[in-house]
Amino acid sequence: MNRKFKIFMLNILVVLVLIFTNFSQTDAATRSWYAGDLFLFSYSNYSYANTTNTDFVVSDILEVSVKEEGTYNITRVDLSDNTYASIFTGAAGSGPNLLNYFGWEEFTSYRLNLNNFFTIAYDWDYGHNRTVLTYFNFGLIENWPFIEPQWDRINLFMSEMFNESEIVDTVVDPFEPLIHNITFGDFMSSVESFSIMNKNTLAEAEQQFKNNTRKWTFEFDLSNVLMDSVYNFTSGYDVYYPYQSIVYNFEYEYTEGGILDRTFRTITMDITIENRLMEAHLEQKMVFGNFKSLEANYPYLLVLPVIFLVTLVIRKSKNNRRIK
Amino acid sequence: MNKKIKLAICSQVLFFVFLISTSQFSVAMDPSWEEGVFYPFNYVFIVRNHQHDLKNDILYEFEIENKDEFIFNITYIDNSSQWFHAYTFDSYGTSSMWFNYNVDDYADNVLTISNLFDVEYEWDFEHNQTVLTDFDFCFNPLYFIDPNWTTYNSRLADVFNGSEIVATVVDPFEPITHNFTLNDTLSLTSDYSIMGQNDLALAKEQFTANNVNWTFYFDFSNVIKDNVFNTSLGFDSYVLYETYTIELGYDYSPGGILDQFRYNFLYEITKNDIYSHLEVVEEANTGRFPTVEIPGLTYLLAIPAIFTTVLVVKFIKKRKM
Repeated sequence: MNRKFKIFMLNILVVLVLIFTNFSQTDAATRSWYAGDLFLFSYSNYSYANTTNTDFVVSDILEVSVKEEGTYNITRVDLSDNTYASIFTGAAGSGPNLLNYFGWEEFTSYRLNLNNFFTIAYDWDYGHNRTVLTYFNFGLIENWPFIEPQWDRINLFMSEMFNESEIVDTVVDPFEPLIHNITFGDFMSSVESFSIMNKNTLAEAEQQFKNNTRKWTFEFDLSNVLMDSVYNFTSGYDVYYPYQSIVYNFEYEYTEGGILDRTFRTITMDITIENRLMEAHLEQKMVFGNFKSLEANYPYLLVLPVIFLVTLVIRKSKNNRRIK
Repeated sequence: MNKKIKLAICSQVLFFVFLISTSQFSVAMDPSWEEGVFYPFNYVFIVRNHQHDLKNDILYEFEIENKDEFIFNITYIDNSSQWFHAYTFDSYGTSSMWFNYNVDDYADNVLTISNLFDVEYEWDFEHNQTVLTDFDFCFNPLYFIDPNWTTYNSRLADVFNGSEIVATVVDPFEPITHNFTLNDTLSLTSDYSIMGQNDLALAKEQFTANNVNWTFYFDFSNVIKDNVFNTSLGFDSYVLYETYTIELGYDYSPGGILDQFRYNFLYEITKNDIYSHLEVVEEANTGRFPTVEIPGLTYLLAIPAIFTTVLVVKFIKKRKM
């Protein structure tokens, strides 16, 4: 093959590579949802609480599960003010034609600032004269099923959100004339462990928010850090008990065209207060698709318990054969 | 032996036979439950509500399951008044209570037709007729009772008086009241079974002096109706429940401790283009819950896990054969 032909083919190849590379690295992808579209989502709220009286070892288990399908019928998309109108139809019937924002600017300003994304609260522990963490939660974005797919801008804001010097709560000292300002950095250094985008340091995590990232994952383990309280009538103040174990998980994922694919939040905890042990698991999910999509997202959860139950059954049948 | 002696001996024998027979017929044993003993029980309450909006093809599910363990510690039994004191322990704390275990008192308050049965009829203005709109059969059993099974069974049998009125509807047009007896209501069922019998007279014969096991089943599928307000008519229309069944059963130990109680209510109905399925289960059993060590989040996937387990068990059984 002569040199000129080789160079010509190489140029064609480079052009082709550039075309396909640009396709997969779309910083601003094309929106894939329009007026007249109908989309089905499924929602699930599940809670499990096991309360045990440790003196007599008696338990009460309460499980509540609510699952609902719902459709969004998009009636209008207005690019001038980044709003869309949609009619939501769920188990309670069809609602009004509601207006919502979808723009990346509105999403980042409403959602991607530290104190909107996280809710963190501290109180004064009079028993030990110190501040204690008493509340923690993530923001959920289930009111953003449709978004402008400006992934580079969204990821940039996300990477800049975790400002360690930003104050997340303040506690007035009851004895000294000072205010305890607790920063995000103070909070992060106190947690048992965390994982953001599968990284255990903020610096590494921030690098995971790439131009085309559309799946964000967070886990916070606040075991022995987060406290619950019981008012003590003798002392006249709250007594704090640490959660022996409490782990928060939050994930959300969009399609390239800006439709929410799935989001879920779980809290798994156990705490012992005096003679009561409480173990609980809370879970909220929103997924694109019908009811089956709710289970399809968690295959790893299926495998473990099924294997365990199968092992139990096989062991039991083997034991029965030996006795006979 | 002369006739007078024979008569005397016979009388003595008869007297003793009478004494023994009375003991057996009355089956009034001493309670087998005692002071100073801890008796654990477990209780389950489940509601499952599934709906399908047929017009919009939208599904909805609500499920709640509560499982509770508790322990009675009987501290004092007063045999003369037939009250006992117990501490009950559950996950939320301790209670101190007195309980009446007398069978007649219990029967007066609980084993009555108006307490056991909940029956309602309404007037259907569209067809100018009465319709059955509600039926339930349920009550709260005592965990500990005086094992006077003769009286218990006799009082319970008395409840099933077919001619007793269970509901009434005032006619909106004529100066009359429509009375519905237990017989009227039971005759509407697709099927019913009381103590395994489909006939009240035969059922009452099953409440024998030493009986400690009771079963009841009522099927009002395609008989009982729910009301839907009809805006064009200006009054209620009525829709048939495709399925409507109630099952209740319970056992006591011969000594008067509740062994198990179960209640199951199920209905299916399609109303205003929405299909609904509701199931209510209530159970109480002696003893604690069986414990199975299962880690983490398995309970999230109990249903698929159980299906898989059933498949595995079937496979293992096949291999054994």
